[in-house]
Amino acid sequence: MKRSSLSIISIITAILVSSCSREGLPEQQSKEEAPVQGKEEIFEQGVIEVKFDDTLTEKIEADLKAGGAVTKATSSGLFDLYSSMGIISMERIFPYAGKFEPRTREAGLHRWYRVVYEPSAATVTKAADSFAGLPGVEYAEPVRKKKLAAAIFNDPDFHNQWHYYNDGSLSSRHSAGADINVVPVWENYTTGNPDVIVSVVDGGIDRNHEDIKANYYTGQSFVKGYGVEAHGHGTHVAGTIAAVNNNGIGVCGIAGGNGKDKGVRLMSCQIFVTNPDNPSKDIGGSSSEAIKWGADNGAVISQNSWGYSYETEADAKKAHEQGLSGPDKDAIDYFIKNAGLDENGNQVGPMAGGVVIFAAGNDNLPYGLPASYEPVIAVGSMTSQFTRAPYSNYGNWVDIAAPGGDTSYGQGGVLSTVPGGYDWYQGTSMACPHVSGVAALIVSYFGGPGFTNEQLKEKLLGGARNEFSSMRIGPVMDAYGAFTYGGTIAPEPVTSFSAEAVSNNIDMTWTVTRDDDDRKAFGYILVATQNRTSLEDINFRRLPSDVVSQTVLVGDLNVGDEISGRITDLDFEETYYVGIAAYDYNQNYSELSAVRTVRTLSNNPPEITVEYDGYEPGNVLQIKSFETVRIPVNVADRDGHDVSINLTPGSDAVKGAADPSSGKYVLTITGNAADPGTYTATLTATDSYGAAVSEDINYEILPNRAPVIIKELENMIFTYIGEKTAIDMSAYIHDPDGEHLKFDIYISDRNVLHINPSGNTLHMTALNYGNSDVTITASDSRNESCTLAFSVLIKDPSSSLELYPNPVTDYLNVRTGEEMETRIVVMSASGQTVYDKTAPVSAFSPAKIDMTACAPGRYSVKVSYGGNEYIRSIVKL
Amino acid sequence: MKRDIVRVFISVVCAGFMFPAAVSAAPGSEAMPFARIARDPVSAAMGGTGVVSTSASAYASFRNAAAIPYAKNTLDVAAAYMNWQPSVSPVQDISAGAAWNIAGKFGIAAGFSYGACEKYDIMDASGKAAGSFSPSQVQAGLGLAWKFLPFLSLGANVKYLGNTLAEGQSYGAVASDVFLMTKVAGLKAAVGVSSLGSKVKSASGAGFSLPASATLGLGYGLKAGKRHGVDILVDADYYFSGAFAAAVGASYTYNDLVSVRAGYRYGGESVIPSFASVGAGVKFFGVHIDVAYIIATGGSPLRNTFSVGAGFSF
Repeated sequence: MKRSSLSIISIITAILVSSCSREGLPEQQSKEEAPVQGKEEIFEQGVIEVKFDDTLTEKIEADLKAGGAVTKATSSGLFDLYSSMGIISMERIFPYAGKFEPRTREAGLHRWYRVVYEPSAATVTKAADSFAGLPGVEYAEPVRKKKLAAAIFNDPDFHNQWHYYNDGSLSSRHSAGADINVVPVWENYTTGNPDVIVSVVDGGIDRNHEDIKANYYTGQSFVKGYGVEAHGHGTHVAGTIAAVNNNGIGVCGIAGGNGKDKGVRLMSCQIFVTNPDNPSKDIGGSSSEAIKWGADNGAVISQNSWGYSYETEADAKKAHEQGLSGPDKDAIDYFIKNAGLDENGNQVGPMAGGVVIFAAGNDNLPYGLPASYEPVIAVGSMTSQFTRAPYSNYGNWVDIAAPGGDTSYGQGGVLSTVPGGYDWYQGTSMACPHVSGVAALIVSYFGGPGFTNEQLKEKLLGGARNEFSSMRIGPVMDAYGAFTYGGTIAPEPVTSFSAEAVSNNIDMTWTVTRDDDDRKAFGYILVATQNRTSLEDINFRRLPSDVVSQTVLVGDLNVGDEISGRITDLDFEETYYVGIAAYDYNQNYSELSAVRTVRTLSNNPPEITVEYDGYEPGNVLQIKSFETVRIPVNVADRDGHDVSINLTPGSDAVKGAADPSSGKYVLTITGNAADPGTYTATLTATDSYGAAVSEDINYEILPNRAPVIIKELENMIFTYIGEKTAIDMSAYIHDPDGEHLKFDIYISDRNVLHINPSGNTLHMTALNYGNSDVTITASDSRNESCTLAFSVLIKDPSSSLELYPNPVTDYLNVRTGEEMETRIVVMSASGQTVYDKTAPVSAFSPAKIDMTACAPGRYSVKVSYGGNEYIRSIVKL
Repeated sequence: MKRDIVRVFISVVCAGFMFPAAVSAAPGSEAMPFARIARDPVSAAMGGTGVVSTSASAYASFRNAAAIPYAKNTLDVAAAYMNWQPSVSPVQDISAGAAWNIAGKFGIAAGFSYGACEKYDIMDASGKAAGSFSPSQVQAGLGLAWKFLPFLSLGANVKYLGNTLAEGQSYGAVASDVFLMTKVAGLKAAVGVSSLGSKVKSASGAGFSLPASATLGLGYGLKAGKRHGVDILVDADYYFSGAFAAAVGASYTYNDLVSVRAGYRYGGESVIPSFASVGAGVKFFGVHIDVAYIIATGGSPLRNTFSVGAGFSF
């Protein structure tokens, strides 16, 4: 577990260059002795992770059964703490695991809880301290923010390859650290060397795959009658070992190079071919020949993701007990003995002798041949949650566990290459190439004359993580652990450094020191105390209580690079004795550097700077009623202390919030959210030690002026359906404040006319013949408005005269075009004249004839104007 | 009893004449005005007269059934086509009628007409076209007559008037004509009420009366030798709406074979405007063919109206 934390931190610090941490500290160091310190922004806010002892865990579980660990925190005795911190929730980090719950509890994972609380109640460091001080709490730490390590390579799907780097962010079923910890190896040691050849005894590798081609070496088919053909299983395995890295496409391979330098070479020893008649069953070939051919053609690592089939479990058990025999056994022995050697036994490859790595098998049985053959490295499969994959064979014969995935949940499988693309697979077949890939990296870096297969195995297995023995598939593969395995030499001590007080912090700068067996220091511990004697013969694994410490991880810095760190939260204006010690991945500590004396300084209050054009302290900012003004405020603390900001807005118009993108605090003044008048907003910044500063910002919200009509809109005539016109409303309505107005449009007949407002322009479209009344109401942000009304007539040019409605029940409208004296005669069906009048008539002033006194029936209307006479039939109902 | 009939009839007619004094309707306020159109070409050619016509009795059910017992023939059957107001709002009207003179004592008549009107454009309240519709008008009637005195007959018609104006919008009414008629030598006279009937309700619920009137008809037939005959008819209507109309028509017949006709109607404020008309007819072995043409001034909607018909009588 400890190495897991270290690996994550190393990745983070690779980018941050410098950060403060205690994850790298020795396990023995107690929480009281080394409180977590550092800038809060590097932690997730409002959440800490806590581990309880068995007794307290039982009480908390009782509370949970009673209805909630927070609301019913009676038996656990944590209620007061919950109340004071505003605890929102407390849940197990590793949820109830069903049939795996017993072994989950056996591993102590049930005692881990994630506590979410109200962030304003306390900083995460203080919250962690509050928990750490309670009896029964074994561990209480803030949660560091995770950063993707993918920046090291540009392969777009790397973030899905949790099996290489798992920060727990893919889903709730991905646990941080459940990976092979290969990123620090890429950063500090190697990404693969083409001198190393890995023979993939499997289905054929897709040699033309875009993400494999550059690292493909050669191949040979051991299936009679077939050449090397691209096979899904074989290509997936090969991609895990050496898919090309940093090429901007697809996925990463463990030993796939860095884009500039090639990775290890892939040798395809084909023993499976897809059966064209039954694609679900492959055609098999000679595995023993394939293994031996690898040794005779330069491979030093034999990757084997295959095993034997048995009819029954009893058969498998019997075979397991009898052990491996036959040509495969001899071929394996041959590979181990002769790989890397010429016909005379001289080492010609990067390693003398070979390693044969086998998948343990996917039968969920404690047997598995050939993997259980003792000379080979048997690989079991782990999920993204630090659990044995449900299919994985297991037992003491399994040498090492690696991620093989579980495709029963999203992104739970292993992502790698398949012919023509990429896919998620699961199986010990997928776990096995992780070990082969790491083995290839080790040979790439350590290989050379004299480097033997036994040395490789020792590093590979010795560097693995042992804390997950309950999985019964061996220790968990740890690439960085393998590279640093066996290191007993502490890094060189820091010989010189600078130390400077910044308020109650001390900034220290030094250079990265080398490590004879690990190349460079893994991290540094910075210590400070007011008692000089506490630093004499200091035991870094058990720091005295009066010593304050911070850790700084080296990440991807190199020996000689400048590195810096800060010890925070010291007492003000006190004299401290400070020093630095280096440590490696195996927690070998150097001597403490020379001790220097630094006096901390007094506290300075934060500073507030309003960064708004034209703003001068004491001036009054004038805000128009419709305006929304953003005023960036820079709040800084020269001492680097955390700062809280309090805003007294003065009116409802002012809101304040931090802007993460700019790092500023932004005041937003919304003019129409308060009545016109003059107000004062007061911004107060207070650092974590109580020093405060305030800034008054005066602002005036100006009175609103309603929009006014400049000119009336005249009635309009459209002469065809589909005709469009646009009206610039700024020619008709003006807002004295210069505000953009909102236009509400009422159309009496939407089948006739459509109006689409766009800014200040109304786009009108004639939809059908007819007329419609239009009312446009222009409103400002305070809903003061003015209204324009006009009529629109869409007139059929072929119809110079329109009588409507027809049939008529009361009034008949007679509409012509241009205004003219018009004679209208209405005659009954029998010819009787019932109406005869002459009056001006136009399109927008139709004659209105009262037909209410006319009996139901048919009538003729004769309309005469402009020298023309028109006759129409109408009906009165 | 015969005296009672005459007494009742006179009361009804007098009431008809008295009624308009109390009620004065605006033009167009009378429903189903097409009921007053003279459809048969003989009447149309003579200014629309025919209340006392005894030579063209087939259409008696449209005006005066009391004339049937005085008819020259036992049975008269006729049909006609009329294009009404062709230059304004054409109506293609077909009509048919028959009258049976039973021994000069009784009479039975029946008639039917159907008019297909010009299609009009349906417009909604905003002036948007919404289709079209062709209205229609129909009339069906039955008449009975009884010559209860050697010189006096009583006749009555009952008619159904229908007018379909729009989809789902049809109107109907029942009307009657009641007349008392006498003939002494060549002089004929009739008095009665025409188109007296139920009201028609508009969509808004207002009631509208039929174009009823008190009607007086006079006629005189003159024979000049065996070959020449002249008939002169006069109709006068005093509408209950207050309007007055009168018409005069004359017919000359040669050898009982060929007829020419002319007439004039003064419409006043009545439902049928003024017009002059001419017409002609031939008759051969009981079969007669007649035509009529209405001569109207330029502004009259009736101009160019014509009617053509055929019939058989014996």
